[in-house]
Amino acid sequence: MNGYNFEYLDFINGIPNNIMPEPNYMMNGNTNYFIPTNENNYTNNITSNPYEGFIRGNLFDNLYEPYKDYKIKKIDPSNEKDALIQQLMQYNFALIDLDLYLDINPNDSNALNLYNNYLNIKKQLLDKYENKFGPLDLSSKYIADGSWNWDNGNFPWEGVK
Amino acid sequence: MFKYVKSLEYPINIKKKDLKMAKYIISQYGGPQGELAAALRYLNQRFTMPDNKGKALLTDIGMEELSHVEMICTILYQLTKGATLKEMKEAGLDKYYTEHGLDLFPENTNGVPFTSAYFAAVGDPVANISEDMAAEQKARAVYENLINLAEDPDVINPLLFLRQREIVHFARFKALYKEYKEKGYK
Repeated sequence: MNGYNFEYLDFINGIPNNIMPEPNYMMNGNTNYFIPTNENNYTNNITSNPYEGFIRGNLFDNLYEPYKDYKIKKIDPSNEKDALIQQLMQYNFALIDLDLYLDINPNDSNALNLYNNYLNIKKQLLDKYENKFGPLDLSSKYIADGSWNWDNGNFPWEGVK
Repeated sequence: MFKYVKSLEYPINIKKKDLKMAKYIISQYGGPQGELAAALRYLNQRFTMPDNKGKALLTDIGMEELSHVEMICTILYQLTKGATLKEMKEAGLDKYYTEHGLDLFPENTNGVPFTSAYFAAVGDPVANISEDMAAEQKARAVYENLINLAEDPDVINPLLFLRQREIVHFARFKALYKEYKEKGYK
């Protein structure tokens, strides 16, 4: 088991079972995420823990600058929907931060591999979320699923409900 | 073309009303160092960048800044939701209430309304990117001031996140600046 897998499972295991969506889609043997190849990778400063990168707002260990003695707090999800959207946010964030890095360093194979891995995970989390809690964008396959589902669920500025 | 995703970039769930804090944070909506100015500055500058690397970076950072506008607006909305007129008066928001009620309006903490004068677009990519680097540093400093003023962790956490993003954006702009100088772009 490589570092990415270990750290992520640590995070998953930290969520109480009763609110954690079934994790099999992330852990079953026939999925191949979290396997960055080591060929030509010249970035060693991307955190191996995407959850930590997300809550601190920075995937890159070499760029991370804490402020005073403020500690980064883990965000406790309050229900299954909240837990799932936070996982989705975590991978959306990793993709945003890697995207900005790759704009400047388009040939970094380590970052390219991570991007592909995280994109794959994000797509599966997105489908899982939308299937259960409604579409997050207008190109979702659940948007016009028998009825118009865009106003299904609250808008994000309303906070957790 | 833009596409809306019905999710914040980072979770915001503020349970405690705090009108004073809203009055400070509104600067990061409509002030000179605010997220709206950043988003529109980059999305405006990108059209005339000299190569695709610059066009991509300004598009992508501009897009992320739009998500930050949404985060700041969410913070403001949650901090002021359900405020009474008495509470508004006590927080010095009676003048704001006169024209806007509890709606959001982009202005700074002193009530100066948003203006496109906050953009830099001087017809020189190296000068524009230097302005962007400075803008990220100034926004980081404002976030630090706001974190110093805040007490509620529900407010501090997203501010820490937004501050950290300024640091990352600065590093990316700096790399682009260096490359453009080397290439002799004007």
